[in-house]
Amino acid sequence: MKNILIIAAMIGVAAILQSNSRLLNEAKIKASGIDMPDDVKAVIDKSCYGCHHKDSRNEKGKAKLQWDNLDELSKAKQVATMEGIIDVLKEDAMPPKKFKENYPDNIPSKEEIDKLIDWANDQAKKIMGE
Amino acid sequence: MNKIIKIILYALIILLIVIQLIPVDLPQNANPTNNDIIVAEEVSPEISRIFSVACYDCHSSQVKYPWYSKVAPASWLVARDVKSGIEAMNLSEWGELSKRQKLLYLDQISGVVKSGEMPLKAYTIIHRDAELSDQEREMLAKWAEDRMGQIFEQ
Repeated sequence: MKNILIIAAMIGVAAILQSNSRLLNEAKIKASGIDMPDDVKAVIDKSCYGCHHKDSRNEKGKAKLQWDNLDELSKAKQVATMEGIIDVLKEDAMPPKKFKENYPDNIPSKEEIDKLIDWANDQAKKIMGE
Repeated sequence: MNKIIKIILYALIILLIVIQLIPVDLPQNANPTNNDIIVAEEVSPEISRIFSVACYDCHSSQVKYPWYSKVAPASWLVARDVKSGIEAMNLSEWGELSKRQKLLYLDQISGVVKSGEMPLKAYTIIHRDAELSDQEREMLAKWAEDRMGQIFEQ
């Protein structure tokens, strides 16, 4: 009996965590034609998604980029988005200072940033047909 | 009471004179070239006018510097805004940009004119003719988005 209750509790917790999941919707990314390997997704989930999704409470972040809606953008806008990501990462403008202060554990490492830049670069080329 | 006001006034005048001695770096202008967005993108007269009147004073090398923009402390504000404007985007060097950079900038132009972020309020308060109507904003945004599609297809 005890075991069943423990398992039920674990399933319940998992269900709640899943529904509140603030992680990138893989299906939507797939639909956009943009490839996203797991290691890239991990960085985005860790350091970007929190502000850059459609239900974000961060109005500025929500207005500038939504990771879940890339499939709704024209190809031209997808390229512009990739280029914008490269720009802000190279300038160390993202994540913003406030975010780094409030969420030190979510600060991306240099390797993670380079990985994201390389990925955005590859995607831009791919979309442009290069 | 009068005496105190006089002293404060003199102090302010002296301060105003002294701060003129602080060197200010107003970005230098350059002659327009074929790389200018108006030339490179062969824009219509309406779009050209909007760029000139609402954008070029921060985002080009054809900044109009009226007399008061060379007097401190106004010159500090002008220098700061023009420098960061040129760094963010220089419309005079449009022709040198890669295809991808153009797509990014066009996307950003469309975004900031639709949101009202640009032109800056601090600028349009003084330059009333730079304040864009809703219609002008829509026109510029549409031009930018159409251009994006065309450039992408090239």
